[in-house]
Amino acid sequence: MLATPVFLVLFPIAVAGVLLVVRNSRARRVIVGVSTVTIAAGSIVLAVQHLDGVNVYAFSGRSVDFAILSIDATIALSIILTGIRNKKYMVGCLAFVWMAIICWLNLGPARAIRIANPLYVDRFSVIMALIIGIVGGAVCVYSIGYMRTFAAQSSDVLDRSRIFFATGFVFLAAMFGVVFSNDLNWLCCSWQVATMCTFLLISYTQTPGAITNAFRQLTVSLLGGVALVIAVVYIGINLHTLELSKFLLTYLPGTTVALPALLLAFAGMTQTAQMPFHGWLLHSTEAPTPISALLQSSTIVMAGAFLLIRISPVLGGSPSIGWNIAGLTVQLVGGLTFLVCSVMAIGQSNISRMLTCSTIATMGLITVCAAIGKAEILWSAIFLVIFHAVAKPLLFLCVGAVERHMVLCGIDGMDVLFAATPSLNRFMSLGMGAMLLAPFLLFTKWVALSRLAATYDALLVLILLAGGAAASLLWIKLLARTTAVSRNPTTLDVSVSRVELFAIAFFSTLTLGVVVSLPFVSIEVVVPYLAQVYGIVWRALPTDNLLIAAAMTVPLVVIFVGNLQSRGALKCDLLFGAESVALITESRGDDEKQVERPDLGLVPYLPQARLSAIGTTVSVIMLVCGLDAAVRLAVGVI
Amino acid sequence: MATIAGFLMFAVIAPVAGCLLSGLGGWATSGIQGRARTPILRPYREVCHLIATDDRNEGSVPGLYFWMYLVFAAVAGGIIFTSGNLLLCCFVSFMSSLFLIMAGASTTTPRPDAGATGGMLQVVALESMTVLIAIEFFMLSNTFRVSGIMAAISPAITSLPFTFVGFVYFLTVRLRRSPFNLTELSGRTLALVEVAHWYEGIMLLAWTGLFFINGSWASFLVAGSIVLIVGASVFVTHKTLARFEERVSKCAWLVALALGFTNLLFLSLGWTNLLPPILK
Repeated sequence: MLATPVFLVLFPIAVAGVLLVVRNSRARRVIVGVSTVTIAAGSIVLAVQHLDGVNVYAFSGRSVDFAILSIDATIALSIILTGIRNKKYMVGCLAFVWMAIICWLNLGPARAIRIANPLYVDRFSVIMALIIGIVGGAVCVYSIGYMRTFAAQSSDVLDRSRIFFATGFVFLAAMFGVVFSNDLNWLCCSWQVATMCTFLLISYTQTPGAITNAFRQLTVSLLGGVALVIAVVYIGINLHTLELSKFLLTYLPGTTVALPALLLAFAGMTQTAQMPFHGWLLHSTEAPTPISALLQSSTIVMAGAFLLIRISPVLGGSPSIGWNIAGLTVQLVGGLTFLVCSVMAIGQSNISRMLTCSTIATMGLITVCAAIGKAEILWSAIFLVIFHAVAKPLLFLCVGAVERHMVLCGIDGMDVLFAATPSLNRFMSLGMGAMLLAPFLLFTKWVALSRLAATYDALLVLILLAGGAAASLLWIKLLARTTAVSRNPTTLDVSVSRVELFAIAFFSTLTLGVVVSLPFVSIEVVVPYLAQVYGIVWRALPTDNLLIAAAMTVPLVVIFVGNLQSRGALKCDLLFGAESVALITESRGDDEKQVERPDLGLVPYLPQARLSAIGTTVSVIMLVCGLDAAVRLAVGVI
Repeated sequence: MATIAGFLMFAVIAPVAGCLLSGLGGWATSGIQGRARTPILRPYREVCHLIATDDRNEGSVPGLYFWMYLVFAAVAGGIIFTSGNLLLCCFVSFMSSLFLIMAGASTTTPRPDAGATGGMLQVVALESMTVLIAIEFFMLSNTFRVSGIMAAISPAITSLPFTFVGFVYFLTVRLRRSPFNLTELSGRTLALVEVAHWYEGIMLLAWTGLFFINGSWASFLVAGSIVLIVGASVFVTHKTLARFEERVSKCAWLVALALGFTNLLFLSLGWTNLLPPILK
C-alpha cells in the first residue's frame, strides 16, 4: 500500500528526466501519453486501496530528510540566482529567508522531534490524487496537440515544449507530494517545487511580459512559502510536532493555534490567488491556454485549496467562542474575494481572463467554506473543488481550441465563433452549465447558506448572496451567448485536432460523470471523511440534497442535447413577415455597435481597476489586522 | 403518493387560477379606464386561439427550452404546494428561468440581447430575493420546509415587514410581463410561455401568502385575501401606471434586496417583533 503514493511521487519525476533527454518529438508524444495513462491508473489504484479510511505511513531514514533538504537548497539557490540575473532582488531575499529558516529548523529544533508518520493518505487525499492524476494528466495529453500547433504558429517563440512537458510532470509529482506529505518539512519542499514549476510554466514563452508575470507569481508564492515555514517552526517549537495530522487532531481550535493556522491559511491564500494576491493568476492567462488549465484545475491553485480545506478544523470556531481570529480573518478575505472577483468577472471582455476571475472567485468561496470550519460547509467546499477541477479545464480547453484558430478571444465574438464550431459550442455549454448549476446553486445557496442561517451571520449571508448572484449572472450571460444564433453566419474553417477533441470529450464525460456520481461520492467518500475529521457521526445529507443532485443532471443533459441541433436548421418565426426581415437585416448592421457595448449595461458601473484596488486595500487591512491579533494572542499565550 | 397527487393538483389548478386572476385584472383595468369590461375568461380564449394556430417554431431548439421552462415552473410551484423545501423551490424556479433565457437567446429575434439583458438581471435578482426570504424564514422557524414555516406561532410578517414590502414591490414589476420581450413568438410557443407565466405567478403569490400563515384558519383567510389583492393589483396597474412602472422597474430589484437585507440585519440582531403580533 505504501508503494502507491511513493510511486505516484517518484514516477512523474522519472518521466520528466526521460523527457528532458528525449529530443525526438514523436517519441516525446508517446512517452507523455503512456506515462499520463500510467499516472491516472496509479491514482485510481490508490483510490481503490485507500477508500476504506485513513492510512498513515511510517517512513524512516535520515537519507530522505537529507534529500529533501538538498532539494530545498537547490531550489532556493536557483531562485536566488534567477532573481539576481533578472534584477528581482525581492525574490532573491525571500528565497534566502525561506532557505535560512528551513536550514535552521532542520539543523536545530527539528532534530529533537521524532516524526512517526511522514506520509498520510485519507479519503480527501484520494480525491485530490484523482484530480491530480486524471485531470492533470488529461491536460498534459491535450497539451501535446496544442503545443505542436502553438510552436508551428508562433515562430518567433522558441519551441521549448521539451521543458514544458518535463516541468508538467515534475509539477504532478510535487502536487502528489503536497497531498501525501504529513511531515511538514516535506510539505514545504513539495510546495516550493510546485511554486518553481508554476514559475517555469508562466515564463514559458520567455517574452519580457511572461517573465514579469512569472516573477509576480514567484514573489507572491514565496511570501506564502515563508509564511508556511514560519508556521512550521512555530508548530515545531511550541507544539513539539512536525506532523500535520497531529497538529490538526491534537489541538482543539482556540487561541494557541490561531497564529500557525493563520500562517498556513495565508500560504494557501497566496496559491489560490485570494484578494491582495489575485494579480498573479490574472496575469498568468497570457501564457498558452493549457498552462492556465493546468494551473487552475489540478495544480498550484488546487494545492492552496487543498491546504485550506485540510487545516479547516483549526480555522473553525471553538465551541465556547464560536469563532477564532484566524478563521474569521480568512473568512472575511475569502468572502471579499468571492464577491469582488465575481463582479469583476462580469466586466471582463477577454474570455480567458474572465474564466480566471471566476476561478479566483470560486477559490474565494472555497476559502470561506473552509474557514468556517463546520462539517456541512466543508462538504460544499470539497464538492466545489471537484466540480471546479473538471469543469474549468473543459472550458479552458474549448476556449484554447477556438482562440488559436481565430484571433478572437473577446466574449462578443463568441456567437460567431461558436456558430462556426458547433461541436465545441456544445461542450462549452456543458462546462458552463456545470459551473452554474453545480457550485453556485446547489452548494453555496443550499449548504453554506442554510448553515449560515443557523449561525445568524448576516454579513456573510449578504456576501455569499451577492457574490453568488454575480457569479450566476456571469454564467447565464455566457450560456445565453453560446446559445445565441449567430447573426452573421460566417463559414470559418476550424479544424480541431483529434487529440484536442478527445481531451475535450473526455472532460465532458468527466463532468457529467461527476454530476451523476455526486450522491455516491457524498455518501461513500466525503461524508465519512468529514465524520472522521470532526470526530462526529455526521448524518448523511437530507434526501432533498441528493434529489437536487439528480435533478441537476436533467438541465445539463438538455443543454447538451439542445445544442446538438445544427444552427442552420433553426427557423425564425416572424409576426410581420417582410417587416421583421427588414428589422433583422437592420440589426445586423448594428452588430458593430453591440460589440462596443458589451455586457448587461453594467460594465460602466464595474470599473475593473477600481474594484481591484478597493478589494486589495480592504483585504490587506483585514490580513494585517488578523495577523496582528493572532501575533498578540500568541505572544500573550507564550 | 400524496406528494405526487399534490403536484398533479397544482399542475391542473395553477393555470386555471392564474388565468382567472389575469382575467380579473383585465376586467378591473377596463372598468377603471372606463372602457367596456373585458370578459374574465379572455386570457383563456386567447391561449386557446394561440394553440389552434399553426406554429412554425415547433421542433426547434427553442421549443425544447420553452417546454423545460414550463415544466420546471410547474415543478417549482408544486414544491411549495406540497409543503416542500423552499430552497429547493428557489433552485427549480431558477432553472426554469434559465431555460427561458436560453430559449430567448436561441430564437432569432431582431434584438435578442436587449430583452435578455434586463431578463437576466431580473432572474438573478428574483433568485437572490427568494433565497433571502427562505433564509429569513429559516431564522424564524429553523426549517426550510413550508409545513414547518406554516406551523409557526406568529406569522412571519410580524418579523419580516421590510422583506415583505420589498418582495411585493419587486413582484409587481416582475409579474407584469415575462422577463423577456419575446414579441416575435406566436402560436403554441407563445401559449406555452403564457401558461408557464401563470404557473410562475401563482408560485410567487404563494410565497407572498407564506408571510401571513400560521397554524390558524384565520391566517389562511388573511393570506388568501392578501394574495388576491397583490395578484389582482399586479394586473390592474398594468396599463394605468405604465409610465411610472418604466421608471421604477429598473431599480426595483435593488430596492427589494436592500429592504430584504435590512430585515435580515434586524433578525440577526435578534429583533424579531417588528410588528405587534397579529392573528394569534
